[in-house]
Amino acid sequence: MGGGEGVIVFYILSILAIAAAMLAASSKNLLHSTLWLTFLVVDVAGIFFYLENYFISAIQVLVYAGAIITLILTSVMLSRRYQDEE
Amino acid sequence: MNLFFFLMSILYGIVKFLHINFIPFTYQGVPVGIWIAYFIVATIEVVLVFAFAMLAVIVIIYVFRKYMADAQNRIGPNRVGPWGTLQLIADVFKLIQKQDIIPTAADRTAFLVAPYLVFTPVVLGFILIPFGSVSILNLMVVNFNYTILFLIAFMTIAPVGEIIGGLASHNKFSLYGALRSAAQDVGFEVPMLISLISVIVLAGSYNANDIVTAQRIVPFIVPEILGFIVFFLAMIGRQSIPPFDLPESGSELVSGFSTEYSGMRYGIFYMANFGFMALASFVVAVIYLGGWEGPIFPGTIWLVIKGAVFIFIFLLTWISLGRVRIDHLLNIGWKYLLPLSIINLLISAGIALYFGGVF
Repeated sequence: MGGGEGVIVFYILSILAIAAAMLAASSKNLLHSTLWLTFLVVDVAGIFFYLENYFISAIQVLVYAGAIITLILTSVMLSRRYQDEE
Repeated sequence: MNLFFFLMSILYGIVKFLHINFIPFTYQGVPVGIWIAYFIVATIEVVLVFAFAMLAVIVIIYVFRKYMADAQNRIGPNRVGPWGTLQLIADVFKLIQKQDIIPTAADRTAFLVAPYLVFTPVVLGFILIPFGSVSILNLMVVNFNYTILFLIAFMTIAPVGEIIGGLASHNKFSLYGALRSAAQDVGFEVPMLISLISVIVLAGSYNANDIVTAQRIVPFIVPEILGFIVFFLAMIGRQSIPPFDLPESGSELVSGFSTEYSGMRYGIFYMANFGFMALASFVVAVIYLGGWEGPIFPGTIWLVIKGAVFIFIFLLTWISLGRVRIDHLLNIGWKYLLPLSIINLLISAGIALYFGGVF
């Protein structure tokens, strides 16, 4: 991390992460909230990558975006709330 | 020589030829012109990788059509271009012209996002493959310590797009396809990662380049034949091609998660599927067959040859095998592949412990 002006990438990613987290929490539609959560997880992986912690970044994508989001999507699929919206 | 420096020197030659002077401003102690050149070269590299991925997809789809036609006693595409080679281009134009239908019941945002969620990780994965070198030019695009982990990470997030697409369609068949896709992904992900871990244990590095150089004498397929079988089956499962094509089974679910997709959106799913096949065969070639290691030919040609072998095996399973039942599929994943991969991990840990210097 370069310090000085170089931190701007970090700030952009952080603001995007906070916005995505707020949208994920406030969205009425469960599927949209999961989409924002996916965006948040990948964005946090980007922050780790920018901070040169590549291992944690890869594990973040692998575990959260790969596995946890799949499980959340499965539970969204099976929820009564989602099915009734049709 | 690195691909980056190669492109950079070409750019420098162009700049010198046109007599353009560098802008005198600096950012973080480096002239702005160098930063601009850096971004231009990085963009060119990504475009080259994208072009390579698309070329691989076009070649695979052509070979697949001809191969399948041959197996079914047909001729296959033979009208557009010489030997029907331009058929795919014609198909793309046809798909682009088609009406873009979004079902009224569908969740519009998620429906539009899903094809790109499948397609982007596949192209990103191509950036991380170690392509080896042609004479002195090294074709590797990025090289840092955790490339193989990122490759596998990109391969695991591709199916999430399929699930989202199936959910967003609001259609019973798509919902079943998405549910099966989720079950299949979770079932095959764990054995795949454990067999990858045993490769990492043997190579002693997360770097794809180091994994290839560790196989200079003996390819990892020899000590890890079990892991190879597990990883290969898991790769077939991740692509959802027959015999593990339950998420999109044409006869029962009317192509599952992509039922409601038409036009170019379906085309993106289709291309992502074949791109994933190319990526999967390159990854298997890199981690089990020694990537660009080989005599006589330049390294990149060896990688392409080894990848092509796996592509042919994938296509052969596609056209020749029937579909398995869902409970059999999950049994394969959890009851057979997972214990096999753990046994393989123990074997490779023993090899790494006692013959650590060999690999």
